Amino acid sequence: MESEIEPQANIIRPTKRRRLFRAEFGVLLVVLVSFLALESIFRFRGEILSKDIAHLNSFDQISRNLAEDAHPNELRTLFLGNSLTRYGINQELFTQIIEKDYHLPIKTAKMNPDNTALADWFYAYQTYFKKAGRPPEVMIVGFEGNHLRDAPSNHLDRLAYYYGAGNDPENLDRFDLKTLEQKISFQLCRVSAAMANRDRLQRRMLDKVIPQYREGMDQLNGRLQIAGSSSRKEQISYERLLKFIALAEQDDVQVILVAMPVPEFYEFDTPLLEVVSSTSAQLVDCRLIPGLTNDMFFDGLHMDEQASRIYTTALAEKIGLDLKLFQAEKIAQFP
Amino acid sequence: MIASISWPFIAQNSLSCTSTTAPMLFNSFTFWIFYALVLMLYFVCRHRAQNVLLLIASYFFYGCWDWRFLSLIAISTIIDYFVALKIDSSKIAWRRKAFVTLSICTNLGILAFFKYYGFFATELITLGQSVGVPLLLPTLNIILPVGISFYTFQTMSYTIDVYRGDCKPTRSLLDFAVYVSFFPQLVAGPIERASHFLPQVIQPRTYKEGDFQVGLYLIILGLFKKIVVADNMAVLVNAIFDTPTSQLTGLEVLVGVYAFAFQIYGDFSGYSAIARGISKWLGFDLMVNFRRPYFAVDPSDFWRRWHISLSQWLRDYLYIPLGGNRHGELMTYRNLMLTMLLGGLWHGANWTFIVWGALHGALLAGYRYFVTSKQKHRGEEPAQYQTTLLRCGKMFLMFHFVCLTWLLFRAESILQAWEMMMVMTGSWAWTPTVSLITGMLMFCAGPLLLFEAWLEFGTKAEESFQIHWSWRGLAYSYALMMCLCFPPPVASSFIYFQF
Repeated sequence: MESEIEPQANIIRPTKRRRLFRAEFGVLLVVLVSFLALESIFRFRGEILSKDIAHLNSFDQISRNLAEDAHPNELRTLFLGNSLTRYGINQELFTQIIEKDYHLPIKTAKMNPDNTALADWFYAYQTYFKKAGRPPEVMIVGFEGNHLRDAPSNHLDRLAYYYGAGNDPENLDRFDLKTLEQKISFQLCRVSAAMANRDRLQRRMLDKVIPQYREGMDQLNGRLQIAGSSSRKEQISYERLLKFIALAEQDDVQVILVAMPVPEFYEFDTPLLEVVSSTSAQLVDCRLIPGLTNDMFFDGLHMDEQASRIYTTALAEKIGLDLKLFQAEKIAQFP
Repeated sequence: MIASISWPFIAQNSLSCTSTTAPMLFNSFTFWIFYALVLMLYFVCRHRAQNVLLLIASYFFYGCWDWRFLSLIAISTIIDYFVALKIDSSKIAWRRKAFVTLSICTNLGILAFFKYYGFFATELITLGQSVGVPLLLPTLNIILPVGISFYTFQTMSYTIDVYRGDCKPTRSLLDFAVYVSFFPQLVAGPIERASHFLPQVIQPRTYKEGDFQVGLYLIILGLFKKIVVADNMAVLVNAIFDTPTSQLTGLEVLVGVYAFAFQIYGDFSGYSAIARGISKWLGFDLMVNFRRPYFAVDPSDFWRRWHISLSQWLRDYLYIPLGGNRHGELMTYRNLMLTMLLGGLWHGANWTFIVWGALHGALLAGYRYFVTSKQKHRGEEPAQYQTTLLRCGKMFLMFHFVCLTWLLFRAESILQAWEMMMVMTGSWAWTPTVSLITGMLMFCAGPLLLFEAWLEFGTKAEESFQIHWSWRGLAYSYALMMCLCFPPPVASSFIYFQF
């Protein structure tokens, strides 16, 4: 730097700025069109790409069918959970057993989006049953391990787009959206299906193009879980579960929490038992079902068809009487 | 079923940053909202107001990392501003020397206290204990201010340049403060020289026809490098380096090191590219910090391509003052070793970084010895012409030398690096983890490598702008779609912030 040059009032003129931009106008247009194409694919053809998208899109229909198609004397029962419920519950068999063995007419529906937990179910219930004015009479929530504990959703993006969670800013701020970055991303996902589903493409494609992708991920996760299990201490709380049960109680919905069987046994923690004892929710222990063996979990987590029949039968037998009693109470309360 | 694959545990192990508040990362929506607001205001301001805005924005940007350390930047700025003026106005040699010493001591003092005190105090205590002399040094739990190594080196270079007469000091504290704290390059460089950057701050901005175009290219390239390459590699690298060494196979360590090579490259060069891109839109030209380093054919070539701003800084303010290559071969080797050792230490207070620097020093010295003895033997300059095959062979060899040093750079300790190297001499079984990392490398880093090979062996970067807009649009769409659809489970901080 030889000498200082005095500053001059010389700002960029609008015409010149426009010209700068125009040079790349075509490029930006191509980028924009590409994004619109991706958005359209997810918005209008998402069902073809993923069964889970089809399922998420059908939430409103599921709740509508349960409310409107049920005969007045049928017990409207909702199975709420994730892929454990999807594979584990044989809806037809459950209905048959309850109707045949307990003489209880029942109408069931299943809401089981992938990789979800109470964080997601909470908003799904609020949006599609409570706020829509179509609450079921019984809600059977299938869980394992820490599904019911307070934790942000694994899929804030889907929460934004499919679950109508944006209408409950108070709980979002309290439980899910901790940072400004998450809040901005959440708002983007509310309006963009591509943003909300972006991880689907990633997993599907990587699973296709990388040999042993899944096995590799499992191997790494497994090793790290062993290495890190001793150092992790988790603060356990069930504040959201309490809110969830309270919401259901307001609508006279009986909540049944079903501890589902998985190959690795898990314990109930004391705070969960305290929540159950302090509310109207029932806890049904199906962690160990006679006849279920580890080789019936085809991918190490989900039940195969045979296991599903065994589990569904066991569950129906465990809660059949309760459902009947519940129905009787309902009729007795009817004015 | 696809959705049942989860990365929960790996995600928790990604690199953590040193900040105590929510940081503003270039790959975050928060940053881009901030930048859009700054840009809008910037374009309606005149030159002086633009500088005021840049200063406010830069301090706000840094304050988002940790507002407590803003005082350090302010102290460094004020001291160096006045010291430079004093040096310039003083005609007495010892006074000039005293002032430049004051600047160097202040900057290195800040750096030494915040970055190295804990390390050296612990090492001294350990050494004292081992020889039976208990030392009563307080061990403080000091938080490392983000980007401290970058801005202290930048301000130091200013006063040294003024002392040497290479640049005139500015009389405007505002301009100097903008030079020190300019937010695009504040926390991870490039380490700009006053002679290159300060005139750009002082003079009104001038825009060239292709500035928007180049800025867009650099930003998209940088985002791709950071989000698609670096962050995806980070997850895998962390998984490998967090796994007990006894559970790893040789091939797993090898692909883990390859993944780290691309993680650190994507991370740092991605940051530099975005910094250059957003600066371009603000009307500034930042220096090129990376020039396809994995295509280097020898150690000297590597350091002309990797973290160029630091390499040049070390050359101009350390290697040459030490004597450079002016005092015989032996002194040249010593100077190379010292420069690289300190360069290693600059990266962090850990023996792994020091050994990393020493290894690079040894590589540079060894290469120099090899080249000079070859020249003596042949009595002629090395052939400029190289066949592509020979060049590729050299690149392959150099890449693996660099990877070997990256192992030390990434390892938590020398012991871990040593154990991992030993593992590499053992079982080379092909496991699902090897398959996964190899696949991810090819999927994420492969396209980048191909693009760089295209630039390296054929087209010049500026020529790529001549390609029809529709093709460029498609290329940008691909890069952005990859950023959108293939992000890592958790966006991690830029690695170089911790240095």
